[in-house]
Amino acid sequence: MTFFTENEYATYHIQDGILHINYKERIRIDLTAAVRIVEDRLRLQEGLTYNVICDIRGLREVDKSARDYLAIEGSILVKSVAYIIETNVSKALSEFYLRISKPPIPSQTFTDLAAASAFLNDQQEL
Amino acid sequence: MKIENIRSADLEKINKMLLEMASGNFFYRLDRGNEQDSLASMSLVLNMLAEEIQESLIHEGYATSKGVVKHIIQLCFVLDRNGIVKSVNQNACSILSFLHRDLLEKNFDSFLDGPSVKRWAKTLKKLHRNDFYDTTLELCFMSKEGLLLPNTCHISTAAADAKGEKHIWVTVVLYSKDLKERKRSEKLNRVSHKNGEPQVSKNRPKLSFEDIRKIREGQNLILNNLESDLPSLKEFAHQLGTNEFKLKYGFKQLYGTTVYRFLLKERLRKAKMLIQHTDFTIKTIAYQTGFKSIPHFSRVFKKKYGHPPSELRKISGESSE
Repeated sequence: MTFFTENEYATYHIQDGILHINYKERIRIDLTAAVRIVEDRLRLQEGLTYNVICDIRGLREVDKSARDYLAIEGSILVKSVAYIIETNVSKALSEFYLRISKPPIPSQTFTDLAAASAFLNDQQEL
Repeated sequence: MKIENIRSADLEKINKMLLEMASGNFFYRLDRGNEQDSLASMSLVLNMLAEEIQESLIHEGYATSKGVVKHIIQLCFVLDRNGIVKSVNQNACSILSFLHRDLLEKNFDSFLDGPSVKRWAKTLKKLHRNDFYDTTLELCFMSKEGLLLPNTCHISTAAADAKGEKHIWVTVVLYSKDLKERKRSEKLNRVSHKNGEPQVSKNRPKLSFEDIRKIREGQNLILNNLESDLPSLKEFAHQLGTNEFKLKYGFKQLYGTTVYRFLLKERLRKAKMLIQHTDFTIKTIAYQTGFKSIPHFSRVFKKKYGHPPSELRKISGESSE
């Protein structure tokens, strides 16, 4: 089993049972990109469901069709997500996405990794 | 001081964008540059808001069920073989805020943003290789005021005319409700009132914001529980705090489909992802997406995606190797 994969948009690795997705710098996501991002994630997961820590600080823009795809197809085999954000662009982006596109999985935003891990641990116990 | 100047120019653009939105133009976007501050965040949210509104306006074609979505040409350019603007429609001038004469004889790429210029250059080369060529391309126009207009452009070229000139057409189509059509149906409604048959309005209750919120919650519940049985519509409606009639009617208004069709569509959509990207058995996937019988699952799946589940798995297995 591989624990690491990468494409032009993000790196993915599995560590201590948590899937980490780190978006690269200045990424713009359209539908084509979204499909690729989800496909590569699912290939790495080999059919298992994971908690995900998703670092979106590098994201610049996600367009409407990509947001809709990520909220539905992008939520498959994900138990819950903790997004790592900074205070401006990625905060605005995640607030909008969680409120408007409404992914059907428990999701929360954090500015630090420790709090994000704690949230996922709590979810694990539920 | 310099930084302040730059940001006030951005504020100016945000202001323009808001004014455009207030006048019903949702196709403009803001260029965010490379800033990462709160102004950049606000521009991002404004862009996403415009996208959502634009989409919901098209979707309203469903919602009123009386409206007709029309395809109207918004921008139309005729270029020569080197991409110089030879002719352009009036609407393009006003949308891009240029005078007609300022557009003519200019290189088409001077109205595009940076990444689009490169894409356009590539396509232009391709256009030269063929006599007839049709393609669509994502291009982002830039108005004189600096607002962006991302659009899907249709680009066509045909063999040289009698004078040996070859032309390129660039058109952008905008979806819009046909006002005439709408007015006519309003008139018809009034007539039917006079005849004492107000059947149209009678069957169309007004949905309150509360109703809409409840129905949205219902849609959310369905999405979150694809694997479980949906209670009867009556029960489901009560669970949401509304009644069956409003649920049925409102769901159709908001999403353009019935509750059951929506549920089926979303179940199949999830099943397709699981078939393509996991090695769960077809049986497991069927149960995980709320199907009780495998033959039924296979049948509806084939109807939707053209292949039965097992065949799709084979195909996606081959393509990923």
